[in-house]
Amino acid sequence: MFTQCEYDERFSEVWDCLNGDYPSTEEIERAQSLLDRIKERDAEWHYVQAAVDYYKRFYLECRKHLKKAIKLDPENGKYRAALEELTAMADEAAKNGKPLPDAKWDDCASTCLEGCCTSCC
Amino acid sequence: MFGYVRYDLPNLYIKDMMLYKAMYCGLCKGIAQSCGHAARMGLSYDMTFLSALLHNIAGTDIKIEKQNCFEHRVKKRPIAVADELTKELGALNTVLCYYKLTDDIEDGGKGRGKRLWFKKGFRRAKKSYPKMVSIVEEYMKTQGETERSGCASPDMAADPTASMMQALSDHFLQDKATEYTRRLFYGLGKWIYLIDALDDYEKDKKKKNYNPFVLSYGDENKKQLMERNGGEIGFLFNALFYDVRESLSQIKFYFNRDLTDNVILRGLPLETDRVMKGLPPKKMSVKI
Repeated sequence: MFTQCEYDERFSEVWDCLNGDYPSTEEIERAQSLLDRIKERDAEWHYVQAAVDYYKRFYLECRKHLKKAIKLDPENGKYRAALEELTAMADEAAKNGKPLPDAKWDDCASTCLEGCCTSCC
Repeated sequence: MFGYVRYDLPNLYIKDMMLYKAMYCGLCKGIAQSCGHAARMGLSYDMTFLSALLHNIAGTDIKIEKQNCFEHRVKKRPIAVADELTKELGALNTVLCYYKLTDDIEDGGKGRGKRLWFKKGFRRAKKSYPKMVSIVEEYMKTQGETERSGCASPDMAADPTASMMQALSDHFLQDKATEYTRRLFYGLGKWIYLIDALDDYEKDKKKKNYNPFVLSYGDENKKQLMERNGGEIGFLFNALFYDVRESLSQIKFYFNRDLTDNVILRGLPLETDRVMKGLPPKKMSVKI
């Protein structure tokens, strides 16, 4: 979802910490600490912060920083792509987790269960 | 914090309902054995679910026997035998109840009398399971500090409770713990914290208690909150569910997982939907 900007060396150490599928808590904390030290909070900084938030599983924070990055640099396709991917991820969960119509039949199911099982116990 | 973990009844198999009930009764007995009879007051389906999940991932089989209990003295019922894991989870239940009531008292609410019910059990838990209790104490302390700092980010506010669940899963699963179990339990802990905060929105706003949603959005009531910020809050929960589902798909279960899948994949989204819509809680029990 997140890709390193090769010509911006300010964040190279932060990206080194985030290398791999599941960076450890210590690596994420180090990445955050390195990022906090950078004073200039431009669009790329917000993008990298979004990446750190993603690995922390702070998805709402991640989304907020991606939106800030887009606001500061609306032409950057990388920021938009990351936000679209993050939104698609949540949308997929929303689609899968949508309650089925029969979930409303609670009372009916209770009655049936009661009726069916009285003889069993 | 308790009472939100629910199953989706129309999609729950009768065998799983029977198992859940047997484990609920087994946990009740486990609480009595580890923390005394008074601590049974804190018995919850939330901890029963945790017990079912941990037993399955740890590969600890559940033995069910027909037994009498405190409430059912005449007719024997199928009850899960309280093994070591169940007893420790019973102790965890007592410790969490004690801290929940302490938190309520600190918020200026009632609960002093009720907390006395758990005081002795809390002491017993601390003596028998020092490592487990130290995990809870450490993260509860961080949770208190985060709340006192006035953290307005729901993600950051939920992190200590989520991390506590993650650390507890490592403690209970030991060599069966993986990156995916850690992620699953982190997600579950985060959901429990956030759903409680969202449900208490109006109460906390009125009493001026700490609530990350109140601090973050500041809307007058939950209806207004959902009208103005429902999309963002929906995203928060859906992203969490995505993480939980992905982790769940990578975890090895030793026994049938229909019960825990029902709760995680159906029950939690349904409960989220209910809280977001501001509907009253649904009746959980069914006579079988």
